[in-house]
Amino acid sequence: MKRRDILAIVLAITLVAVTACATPKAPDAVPEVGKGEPQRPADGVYPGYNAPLGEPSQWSYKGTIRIPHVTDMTGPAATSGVYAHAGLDDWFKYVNEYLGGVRGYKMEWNNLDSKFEPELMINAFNRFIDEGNPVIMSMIAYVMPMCAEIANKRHVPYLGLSGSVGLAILDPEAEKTRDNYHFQMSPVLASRMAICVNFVLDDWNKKGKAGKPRIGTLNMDNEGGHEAATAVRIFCEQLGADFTIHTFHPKNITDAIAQVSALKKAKVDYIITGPDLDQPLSVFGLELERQQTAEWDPKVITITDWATVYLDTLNPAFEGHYTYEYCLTWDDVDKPIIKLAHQLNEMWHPEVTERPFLYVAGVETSIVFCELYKRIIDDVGLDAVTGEKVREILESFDGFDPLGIGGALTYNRWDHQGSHSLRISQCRDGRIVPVTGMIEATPLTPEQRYRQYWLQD
Amino acid sequence: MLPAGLYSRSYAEDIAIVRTKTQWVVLVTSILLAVCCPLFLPKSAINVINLTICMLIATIGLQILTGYAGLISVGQAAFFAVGAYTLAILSKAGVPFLAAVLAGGLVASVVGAFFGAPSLRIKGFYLVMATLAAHYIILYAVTQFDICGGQVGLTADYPSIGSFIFDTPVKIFYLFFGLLILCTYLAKNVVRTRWGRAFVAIRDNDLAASVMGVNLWQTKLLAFATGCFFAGIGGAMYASFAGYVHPSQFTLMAGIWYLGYLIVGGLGSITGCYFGIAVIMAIKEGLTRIPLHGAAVGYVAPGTDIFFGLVIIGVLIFEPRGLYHLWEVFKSYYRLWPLAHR
Repeated sequence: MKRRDILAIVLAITLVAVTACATPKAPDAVPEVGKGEPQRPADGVYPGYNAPLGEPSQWSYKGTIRIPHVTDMTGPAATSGVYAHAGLDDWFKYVNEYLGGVRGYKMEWNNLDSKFEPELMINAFNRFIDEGNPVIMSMIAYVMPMCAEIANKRHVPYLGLSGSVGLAILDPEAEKTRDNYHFQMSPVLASRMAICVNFVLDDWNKKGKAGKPRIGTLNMDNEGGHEAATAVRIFCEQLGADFTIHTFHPKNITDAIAQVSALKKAKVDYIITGPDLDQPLSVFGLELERQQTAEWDPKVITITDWATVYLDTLNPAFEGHYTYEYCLTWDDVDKPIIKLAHQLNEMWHPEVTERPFLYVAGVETSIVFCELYKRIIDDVGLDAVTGEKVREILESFDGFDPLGIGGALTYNRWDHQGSHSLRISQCRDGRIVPVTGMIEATPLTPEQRYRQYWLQD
Repeated sequence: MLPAGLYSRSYAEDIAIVRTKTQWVVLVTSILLAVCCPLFLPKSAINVINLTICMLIATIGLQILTGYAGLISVGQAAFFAVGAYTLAILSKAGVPFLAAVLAGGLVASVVGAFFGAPSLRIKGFYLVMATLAAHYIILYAVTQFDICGGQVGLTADYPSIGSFIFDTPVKIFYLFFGLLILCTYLAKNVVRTRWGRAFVAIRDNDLAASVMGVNLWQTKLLAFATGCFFAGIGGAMYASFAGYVHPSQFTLMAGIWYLGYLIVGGLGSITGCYFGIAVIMAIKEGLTRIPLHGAAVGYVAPGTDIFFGLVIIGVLIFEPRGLYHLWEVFKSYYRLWPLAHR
């Protein structure tokens, strides 16, 4: 072998070695989402949550993002609406003052009081869509089916707290033909009722009682109420409780004598209610206390509006009963996010010592919207975002953890429930005390995804 | 009152709705302005106007029933719902929009006549209770029938004429405005007919009217049928605009507000309906635009309701005959100007 051949081989090997070393490092593998590790908010440092709170800073914002929020701040759901609004506002204030907003944009809620009037809701939704808003929030809204219809027709998503199967779930046929623009933060009503019936059976067994618990229902006479009523009956039959009677009421009531008398006649041990409002629940609670005896002392498992009324009034009529909620409450002060909420409340609202669940729900909603707008800004930018794009971005939420304030949120094409878990708490000693951990709802079967399945009763 | 120097030389001139050239100019100008308003109003305002037109037509119906015939009804929202459901059901069956709207009016008219039957025996407060019952009966009934969608409600398509679909607020506005002009013209003429005069006669003194040969029951039934016909028309238009009908959209409060529009606008005048509903809807929408932030929410939100109530009370105290009467006073004043005296 001649010298030049050896030199050529050595040169070639050297070149190959150098080239191999110069190859850019392969990027880290993108973690698989939803398969083990939850999605966390992208910017991980939250003063007061995982870092010292410190002082707020003066920020120079690129602009302001104003998100429309339509809710009842007067009317039968006023108390809940006002508390929810406080939670929404406080988290945005924190994000603006301590984090510099979202991607440099100041976050604000554009609040509108729908006053429990359907035409104001219709006008509000249409107006916000006409003004170019790509998403609407509606915490407490009476006429949700109509809002969902406007959202679906005009392809602008709206996010609510809760809703029926017909709103949040697409049945297998509908999944093939249309998109759904209603999103919510919590399990559908039917799934909530399953958790409530399970809780009743556990509670019954823990108390060492024989036989089956007798369960009755109280619901508003609307789609949500009928879905809840049907679900309670179905799950009682499936899980081994003794279903007795349904009672219904209109949205405003001056007395609940008929309903309570019917439940008393049926000798129910537990009364489960679906979605309801502060005013009728208050009237019902007071009537229940009036008709209670030593022999008949049923427990109510109801929506969180009951707890709101309890905290506002501390009336003994509401004491000892249970409510279900899908995120933490003010008492979970050992959790960093609630501890932060307490700190902020002490700074900004020192006169307020107790906050109901809906305040915390408002905080969670604002966390979700911050994440949503981060993704919008990163993905398409604020100028190019449309309602369809927001829907796609929301449907990319897969196990998103809202700083531990509630269950992880997952939306997909046919399931817009968000979180799939609930917790039961008890109204006790002036507080809302959790008596269970987060209970995961059983997934709906294909048959149960049909709206009409839950409207049998 | 005609301007000084103007006389009617024939019966046709005497009963003409638009009598003078000035009135024609004002009317045509107003219509042209209304037709041009989508050019300078934002889309959100057009949506509010569309909804207001639906409610205005129902208010015109209530004016005939309550303002002219003196039969107080709080069930107008329920008859509105009848028209809405009729259109939603018929549009699913492929019935053309205009035919469905007419059918909505007719069905509401029949239902209204049925619930107006007790009016021969009862009046005043007792009739109010009967119409209150009608409200609850109708809204309960629609939840019991699958054809009405039960608790789920029904969807309704956008209005269409032939292959042209009115799927934007501006297009819907022009369609609704045309229907409004038609309904107003119809209502104006109804109250000038023999039946319209019979309505006024039984309102003022039903005993005297009966003595003069007015068939009370027939006239009252006709008043209900006519009033509810307009409610049904308005409801049908509303269903196509909102795209969805559900019992929760037709509240008792809405029925009471229809009476409120009449009282604020002025009883006994079709034009008064325009004043009443325009002022109240403008105030309502204006109040929703007040910013609500922070701790003020707990005060501002209910404060707007208080303000709204005070406005209504103010109107009733200072002009109990309604805003249309104020307009009449103004017209009389400027006709005599500069020689008007107080």
